[in-house]
Order: sequence, then structure tokens, then C-alpha cells
Amino acid sequence: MDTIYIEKDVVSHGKTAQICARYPKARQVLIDRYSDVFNSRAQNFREQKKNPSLILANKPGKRVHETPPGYHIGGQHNYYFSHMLNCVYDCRYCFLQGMYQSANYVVFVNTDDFFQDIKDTLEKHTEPSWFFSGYDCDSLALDPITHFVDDCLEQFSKLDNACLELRTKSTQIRPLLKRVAQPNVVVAYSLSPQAIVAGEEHGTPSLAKRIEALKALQAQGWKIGLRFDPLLYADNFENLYGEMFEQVFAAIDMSRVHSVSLGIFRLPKGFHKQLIRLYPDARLLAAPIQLHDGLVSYPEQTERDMREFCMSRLSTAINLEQFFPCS
Amino acid sequence: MNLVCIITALPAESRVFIDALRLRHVQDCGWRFYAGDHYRLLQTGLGKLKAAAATSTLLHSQPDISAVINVGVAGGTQPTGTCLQAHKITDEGTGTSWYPHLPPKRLTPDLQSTEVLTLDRISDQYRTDTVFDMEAAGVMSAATAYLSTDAIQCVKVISDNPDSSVQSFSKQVAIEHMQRTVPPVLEMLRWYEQMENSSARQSEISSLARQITVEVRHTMSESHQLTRLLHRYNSLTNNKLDVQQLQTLKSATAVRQYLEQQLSDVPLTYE
Repeated sequence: MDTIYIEKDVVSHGKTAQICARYPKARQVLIDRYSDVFNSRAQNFREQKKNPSLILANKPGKRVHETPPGYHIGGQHNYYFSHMLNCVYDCRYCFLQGMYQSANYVVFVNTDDFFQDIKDTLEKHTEPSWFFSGYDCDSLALDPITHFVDDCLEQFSKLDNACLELRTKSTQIRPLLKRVAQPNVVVAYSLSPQAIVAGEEHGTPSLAKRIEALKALQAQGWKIGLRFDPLLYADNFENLYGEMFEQVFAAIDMSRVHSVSLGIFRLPKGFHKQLIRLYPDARLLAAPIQLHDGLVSYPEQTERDMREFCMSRLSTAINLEQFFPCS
Repeated sequence: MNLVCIITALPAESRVFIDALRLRHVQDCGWRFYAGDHYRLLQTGLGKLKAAAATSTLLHSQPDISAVINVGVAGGTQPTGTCLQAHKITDEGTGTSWYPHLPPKRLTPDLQSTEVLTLDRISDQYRTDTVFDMEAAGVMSAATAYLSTDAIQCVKVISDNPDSSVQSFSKQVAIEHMQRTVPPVLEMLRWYEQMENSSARQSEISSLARQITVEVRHTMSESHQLTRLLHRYNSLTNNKLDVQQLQTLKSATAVRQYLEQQLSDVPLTYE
């Protein structure tokens, strides 16, 4: 990390010092608000992605949000929170590149405020509430720097009525493996066939490494989730995904998987346009697409075929209660 | 190779780069302009208005310039001859700030960064956390209409400070200080020059599209469709398109249908 922007309000925060100590040679630039840098005009997401900077900030206002309809894994009350914005990986299909001007990483250091908001949210319900952490970022990928997982698990170990999903492609699972598995935490991995990992998920661990991480977590008693989202169209779709399912089913005890979800590639129209602007030659953009209800996705028949194929394979390994489609 | 342009205000700021890069004077519209094989130098004159006007004219008339570096003298509290790059540039008059996305530190590991405050007139009210100049905000303001903030940099050298007032400033002293900016600026120039430029591939496709639209009339919307189809073709196959055949087609619809037919024969696979 070459440059760290630090909001003046968090200069003396313990977490700021901890993170800056990891990068003693980085330039430190004081700023008033993270949005001055992160949301400024004339930024190039693609170029910044080659050498992103880190922004340490305070997250004011609302920190815990309701998830969009359909974003759940069986819970009645579902919320997400983002302790950081942006992701260390560079997946071509990612909606973040359409959502943000900047590829810099924003890390909010006021984690205690997030946990307080989570506690306040819990009090609204008598039933358990689910909290999803990997919505605007990868939950684990920057963990060696943020130590978010340790903080988070510590807090959730004290909350009986709260469940947490850590969603990731990262194999940074050391903080999880050094702890006793927590029954209210699901570690969910986004999985794609290796050829798609290589072609579209730049900088991410291979499928084999993700499966290894899942195996290790499952062996230690952690609840694991599998997220086949987004499914990308290819003329050799059935070979690609068929082979991936075989690899996963062979390595993991599917009966003990907490939840499986499946979603076809979809992006809001504006984000798709931005993706074309950034990566006009991306292979995934060569697939036939359609616009339904403001979302760009594949033609209905193509989607149906993709979903049916995956369901036919998944149904051999999991029960319906484990399955949650993404909409 | 990408074209990069240095932007200075004064002849004393330009001289070291004209010599180091062996640039030649080129007649252009009102500003001093110098060119070499891969580099350009624009000398705007003093002040942010001139800097903005010249930068805007340059980038409008030469869209192949992919990055600019504003280089010049500045006032600060550091020792004279200290070279700094701007991590923040503020226009004192409007309060507007810009944050250049800085190049990797390994390029210029010893170059410290600072805020540059662009003033309308010379000041000797030096500040510890900021250096003063008179052009950087003008360059940023104009250049961000054409380039992104990773392609606009600013390098300044301290020419005056509380111990060496701006009154003692002379052309010869400025040239001596400016020599200090040459090594880091050359590093940046080379980096930009060699950088994989995402827009280069796009301009290849745009040029292909132009070759077709020159011969076959396309509306604006049809041109966009054509560009998208050419990108799709490019992402799926390494085969070269027969542009001459496309140029003989009678209408934009015929071109589109031809390309769609070609694309339907190419499978989209991941191997």
C-alpha cells in the first residue's frame, strides 16, 4: 500500500495506528472526509485498481441496513453492514465497479459503532436476525490488515439472537481456524469454475484453494455456505459447472453445508454500462443479454436452462431446506 | 507508446526538460510548445488562468496525450531545492481540491508528497503543511475534463522559503532548483510512457469503426452498436476482421447483420 489517506477524526484511533504500522513506508495524507477522495470526479476505476490506496475513515450515520428482498439464507430479519468499501479482488462482473468512482479501499475504523448498531438492531426483534458482512467488500480478504474477523467474532459470540454471514473468496482463514467454531456464524464462499476464476475473477484464489479452505473450516466445525453467484453464461456452461459441482461434492460433506445459493449474472443497467466503459473487451460482455426491470441479465430461456442444469446437479447433493435462490 | 506532456509556467522551468528530453520548439496556438518523439512540453505563462486555458487547448487539440505532469517552482518552509509531489491540490480562490492518484512509490521512493495551494498572487506567508504555487489548480481544473486523476501529476521544487525570500528569485536560481525535478519527473514520464494503456486498445477499435463508418453511413446510435459488436468480436476471437469487405456493404444494417453472423459462429467458452 503506497498511500494511506486518513480522516482527521480518526488520526488518533487505535485501529488507525495499528493499520498504519503495517505500512511504515506508505505516504500518509490527512483528509477531512473520506468522500473527498473516494467520491471525487475524474477517477479511473481500472487504473486505480492497479495501485489502490487505503482510506481510513469514520462511518457516521446509518451503519446497518436491511438487505434487498431475496437476499437471505432462511432468516426472517436480514441486515448488512460494510466495515469496508471495495474489494481487493478484481472480478469483471462485480457491481462495485459500477457503484463506486474509485477503486481505493475505504476501511471504517469505528468498528465499535457498527457493533453497537448491530445490538440496537437486534433489540427490534424477538426472532434471530441475520447480519451479512460481505455485501460491499470481501469479508476476509483484507483481514490481516483490518483484523475485522477477530473483532466481529468476539462480538457475535456474546449475541445469542444474532447470526453472522462472512462472505468471501479469500483463503485468509487463520483467524477462524484459531478459534472454536461459533454456531451463529456461517462462512460462505463464492465459487465459480476454475476457467471462469482464471478468466474473470482476477487476483482471487483458485477454486481448488477455496475448496481446501472450505474443507478446513468444515473439519473444524464451522458452518459453511456455498454461493454459486453469479453464474456466467458460456457455450460450454454445462461442462464448466458440471465439473465444478463434482469437485465441490467430492471434497465437502454436503449434508453439513448450512446453505447453498445460486444466482444468475445480473447488473443494474447503469452499472452494466459502466462495466462496458471500463472493460469493453471483457469476455462475459460477449454473451447475449437482455434488460428486464432495469436489470441486465441473460435471455429468459438461457437463464432457465442454466438454473435447471445447476438445480439438477445440486439436488443430488443437498436438501431443499439448504437451498436459497438469489433474486 | 503513450504520449506524455510536461506543463510548466516559465521559461526557467521549461529549460531543464527541453535540454534533457531534446525537445524542439513547435509553432502552436499562442503558447510555447515543444515536442520530441514521445514527450511534449507546454509552457503556459504565469498564473492559474493561463495554465487552465493552455492545458484545455492542448488536451482538446491533442487527444492522444494520455498524461500530464505539472512541474515548477513553489514556496514553502522546506529547504530550497526540496522536490515534492502533490497529493492534494487546492485552489485558494474557490476552495476546490483535487487528489491526484499518485504513481507507485517504488518509482520515486525518496520523493515526499505535500499539499499544493494555488494562489492568485505571490505570498510570503509560508505554511508548514502546504507549498504555494500559481498554476497547479489551473492545470488540474482543466485537465480533469479530459484525463483521470491517475494521469495528472504535479511536481514542485521549493524555490523560496522564510530564509530565502521570493525577491531573491532569479532565472539562474530557478534553473538550478529545477534540475532537482528532472530525475523524478523522468521516472514518471517513462512509467506513463510504458504503461499498459487501456484506452489504446479502445482507440484501435474506434479506428476500425471509423474505417467502416467513413464508407458506410452510420447514425450515432448505429456507430455505438458497431463499436460494441467490434469489441465483442475482439473478445471472442483473434481472427482479423475483413474491413474491406465491411466497407463494401450498403448500409449500417448490413454491417450489423454481417458482424452478428460472424459472432454467431464463434462460441463463447472459458477453457
